[in-house]
Amino acid sequence: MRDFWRLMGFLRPYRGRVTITVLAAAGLMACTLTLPYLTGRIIDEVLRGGHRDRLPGLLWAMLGIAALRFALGLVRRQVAGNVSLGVEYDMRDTVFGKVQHMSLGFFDRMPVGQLMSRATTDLQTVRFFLGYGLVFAFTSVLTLLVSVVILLSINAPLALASLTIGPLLMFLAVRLGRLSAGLRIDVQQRLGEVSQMGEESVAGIRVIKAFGREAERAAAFEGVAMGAVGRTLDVARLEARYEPMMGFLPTAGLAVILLMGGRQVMDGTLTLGQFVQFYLYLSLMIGPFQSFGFLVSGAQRALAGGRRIFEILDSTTDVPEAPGARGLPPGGGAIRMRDVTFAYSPRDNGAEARNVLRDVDLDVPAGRTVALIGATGSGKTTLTELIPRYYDPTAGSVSVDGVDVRELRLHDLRRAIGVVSQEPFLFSTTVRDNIAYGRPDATQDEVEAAARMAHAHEFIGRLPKGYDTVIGERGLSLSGGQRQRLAIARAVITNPRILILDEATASVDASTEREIQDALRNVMRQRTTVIIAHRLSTIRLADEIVVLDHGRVAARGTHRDLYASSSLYREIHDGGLARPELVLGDV
Amino acid sequence: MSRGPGRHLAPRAEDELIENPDPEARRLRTLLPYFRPYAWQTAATVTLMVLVTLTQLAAPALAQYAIDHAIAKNDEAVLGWCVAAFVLVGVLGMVANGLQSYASVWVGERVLFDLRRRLFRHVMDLELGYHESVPTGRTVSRLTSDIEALNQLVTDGATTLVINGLQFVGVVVILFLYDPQLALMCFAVFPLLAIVTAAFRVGSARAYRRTREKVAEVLSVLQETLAGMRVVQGFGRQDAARRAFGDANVEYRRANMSTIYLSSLYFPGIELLAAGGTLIVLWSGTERVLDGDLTVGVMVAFIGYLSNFFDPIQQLSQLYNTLQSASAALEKINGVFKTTPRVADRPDAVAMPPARGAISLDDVTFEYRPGRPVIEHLSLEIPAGSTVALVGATGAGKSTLAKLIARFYDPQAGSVRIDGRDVRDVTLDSLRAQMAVVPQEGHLFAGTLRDNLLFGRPGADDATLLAALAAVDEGDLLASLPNGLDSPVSERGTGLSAGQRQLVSFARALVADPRILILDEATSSVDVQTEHRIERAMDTLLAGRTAVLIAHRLSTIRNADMIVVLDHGRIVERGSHDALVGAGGRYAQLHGDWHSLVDA
Repeated sequence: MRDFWRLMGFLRPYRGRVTITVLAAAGLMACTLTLPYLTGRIIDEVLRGGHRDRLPGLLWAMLGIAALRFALGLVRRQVAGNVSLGVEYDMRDTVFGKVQHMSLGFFDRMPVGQLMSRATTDLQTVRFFLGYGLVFAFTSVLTLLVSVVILLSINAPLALASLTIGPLLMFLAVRLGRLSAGLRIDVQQRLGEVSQMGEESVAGIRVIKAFGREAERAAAFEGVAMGAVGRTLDVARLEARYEPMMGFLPTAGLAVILLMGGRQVMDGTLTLGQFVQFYLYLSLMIGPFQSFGFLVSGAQRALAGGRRIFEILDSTTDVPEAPGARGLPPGGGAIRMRDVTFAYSPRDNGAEARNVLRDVDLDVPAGRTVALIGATGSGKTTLTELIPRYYDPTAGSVSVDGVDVRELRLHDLRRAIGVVSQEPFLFSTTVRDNIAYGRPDATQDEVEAAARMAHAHEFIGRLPKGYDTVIGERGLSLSGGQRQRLAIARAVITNPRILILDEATASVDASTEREIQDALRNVMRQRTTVIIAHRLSTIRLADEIVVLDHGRVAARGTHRDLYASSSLYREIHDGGLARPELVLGDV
Repeated sequence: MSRGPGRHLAPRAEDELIENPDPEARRLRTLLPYFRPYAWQTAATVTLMVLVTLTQLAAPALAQYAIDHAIAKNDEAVLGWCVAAFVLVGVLGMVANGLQSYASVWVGERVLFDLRRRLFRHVMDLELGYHESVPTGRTVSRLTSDIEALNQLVTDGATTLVINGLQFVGVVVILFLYDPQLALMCFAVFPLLAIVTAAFRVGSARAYRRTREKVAEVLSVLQETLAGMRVVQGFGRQDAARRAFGDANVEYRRANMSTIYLSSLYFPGIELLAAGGTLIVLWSGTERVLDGDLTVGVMVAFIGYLSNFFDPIQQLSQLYNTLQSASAALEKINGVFKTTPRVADRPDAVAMPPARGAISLDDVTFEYRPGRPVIEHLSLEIPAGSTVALVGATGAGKSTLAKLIARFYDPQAGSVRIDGRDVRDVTLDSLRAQMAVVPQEGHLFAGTLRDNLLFGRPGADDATLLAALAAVDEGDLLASLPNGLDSPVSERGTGLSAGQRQLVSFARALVADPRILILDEATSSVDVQTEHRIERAMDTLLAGRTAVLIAHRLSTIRNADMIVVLDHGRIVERGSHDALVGAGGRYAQLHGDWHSLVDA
């Protein structure tokens, strides 16, 4: 129930408009109910009573009411539509705003696909319920109540007899709604499996073809799809059982009116007009009765969707900004880590938290370069993610220019750090906009200067539209090395104090390797740099080398020191670092 | 169901702007052949729909009869009969309705299942080139959201269409039978109705299309921002991202609002016209009843039927949007069907007998785009059991050459032969059963590690799987998985790094125990130490197989029986490492460069 009221809270900004909708709906209902009444009067007074002179007046009244109903219907639809779209907009915007400030840990737990479905499907169900469902429920109840009162006032025995169908109808509708809700969720689930299987098969088509497994894959896909068909048919069977019964009950009610009412008309206890009124009123009530099941399941779905959205809105960021956080003091970007221990899910119940980093100390003086080396899984990337506070350490501290990063304003800290990841994400916009991402006001000269520094200018010039080439457009794919150089340009254009670089492992040819080395030399000047190195040539650029082994610092020093003192380093150096590749480059 | 507000707004991830103004009906006709296997079930469903409509149409007529012939004439016996008939028709309707609603879902679901099955098989059969040029997401939405759009039409929509259409026609007929004069009078509103409905159709077609486009935009902005959140946050551009998202959101809201304006005019408008019709009946009917020209029962029946007349119009108008999305979806699906697989079994293709593994390429030319050959007049003999390394710059044609051998593509000229047999003369299944390709990206399927390893050879025992894993991994991988071979792995799920996925993909190829092994930068994402270990194990891995390697490491290349140096789709040098270094050509020069770099 609390979730329900919380959902209703989204209607608060639209209180005025919701009131208008409700009033319009009530008016609409009144008009609708008046029409059978007037019809009855025409039959009794004009046809039976012979008051031919009253006909024009009654007809004009009906016309007026019809016109009023048109106006009210128009207002109700427009205002309700407006409210429902407003709610959708607000909720989506709120979710977006929230998600944007969540830490990376949040995204580890909540994949993009999940977030997307909550921001779309779940939101739509909430929107329809708040925008239409509620008002619909209100008018349905009102229509029923008023009709019942009218019928009772016309002829109580007949009303009671014919209205026995009401509770029955409602019972069936609610029962159907309850029974089908679970099945429907199951159907959704199965359809999700179908898409997942489809997506996976298309994404893995190369492997499927390589092993000639098309037929087996198709059979598996059909199995999943057939499962969805089966569930859908279950729902259909249930509906086929209940819905026709719900359709028959009003007919039964009408039969009661025909039989009982007909006799009463013959007895003279009921006028023919009243008889017709009864008939018409009962027809009007069928819809609201039947819609109860629909409303109940709609409310359930909206509530379920709302909960999934609240789950996002209620998540807290793992890296909150301290109250009174301060700006970064001037400095050269000195990094200091003390006793840093880190686990991705320290609060995991039961299982022992797996520490990815253990008691790590690291000092990078301003302007110097440190190379991190170590096997896959030794914690290199995680270590660098603690500096811009993508994660906070479980224990120990990280400071930049003498200040603990948890005391700094996140925005300031991150603006001072340029990150180039192993597989950089580029936006599907122009090369220029990608480079200028951190400084949208950069001039073309500045963009080109950054590209030159990253040794990207030349290949950009060879792209179909140069700096205006849109990345990710059909047929245009950049190599890993090119993407990384664009990311380097994007990082340096903001002139960060600290540069964090995760070198790509993928093979590049000798000339590309030389280009990358030159680019690195350029951008590391005057900056504190932490570089995760996979290449021999990169290590040579570093002032100090730190060897990580299973989350601990195993050795540190210059190449000369380490080669003499550390067997692990010697092993990695001789066997574990990439040398230039033997490739016919751009000869 | 079709009454629910706005079912038509289900978001669709993407709608390319190819909805040309083709008549929907013609496009939807391509769906008809799918109904053929269920001809009698379809016929039964339609018959049931007719029955349902008839029972619905009978009720007001029976009421009229009761009013005029029983109540007005004080004849209780007739009244009893009327009510009995009324109930009987109601029961009949109930039964027909139940059967019909189940039958139409049954037929609809099966038709779509068949469509989806055929589409999936077709997608699987399309050559690699198709999948490389069409983004995965687009192909997937053909299989999912487009089929869903059709589902709305085929199951719900078709019922609405038939029953309401029949009802509409039935009412017109009945009213004319009752009283042509009164019928003509109340159908005076018909021209107005037709004009309003036509205008609504045109307007809403445009408005809904715009809404679909805008919602796609919202989704793509959302998707991209979420995917790139690290960058957004890293540069502190949250505000800008939110503005961009807000803009898309506002535009969608505006576009959607225009559909609401339209329907808020149209639907109350139809009700107004319906009231107009009723007023005409009451006015003219009353006068005529008073003149003794018409019975009260007929007048009441007219009022009852009129609502049966306007209701279908509303329902059908709401259906129009469903019809449009379905037809747009079908057009996209048909677009996929129209793309014929370029690499397919010939009708007379035979199964390839167990191969020795000799590969020969004879004067092969291949181009992805006309006029830009990637491989030109290339001939190459690879003896069975030997190892060939392909060397060359990016774009020299190494991967393409490997794909031609695996028949992922067919050459435009020349031929590829295995053991002297043209690969186009044998079935694809039998050809691929004898070779394994380890591509650069190690794609894994959702399932357990075992499922993935068994992919190329279902039925292999655990010992084989563990042996294959051991060949590429020292045991770190298995150790990192809690349940060993039964550990779940997935494409995007956490657990395995890119390097580890590549190792699994390598092991998967070894399990298949192929005669021909093609390694296309198969170890590019594993760390260098592991790669070195694999290189050392290479002799055993390749023993008794023909191998084609695309590699960069000198150590790998050096050990090959033959090195083929490619440049712009041609072979510029070939021979053993020692021979090539001795010959002083391009390979030798490169080798020298490399030494100078390493020794620097």
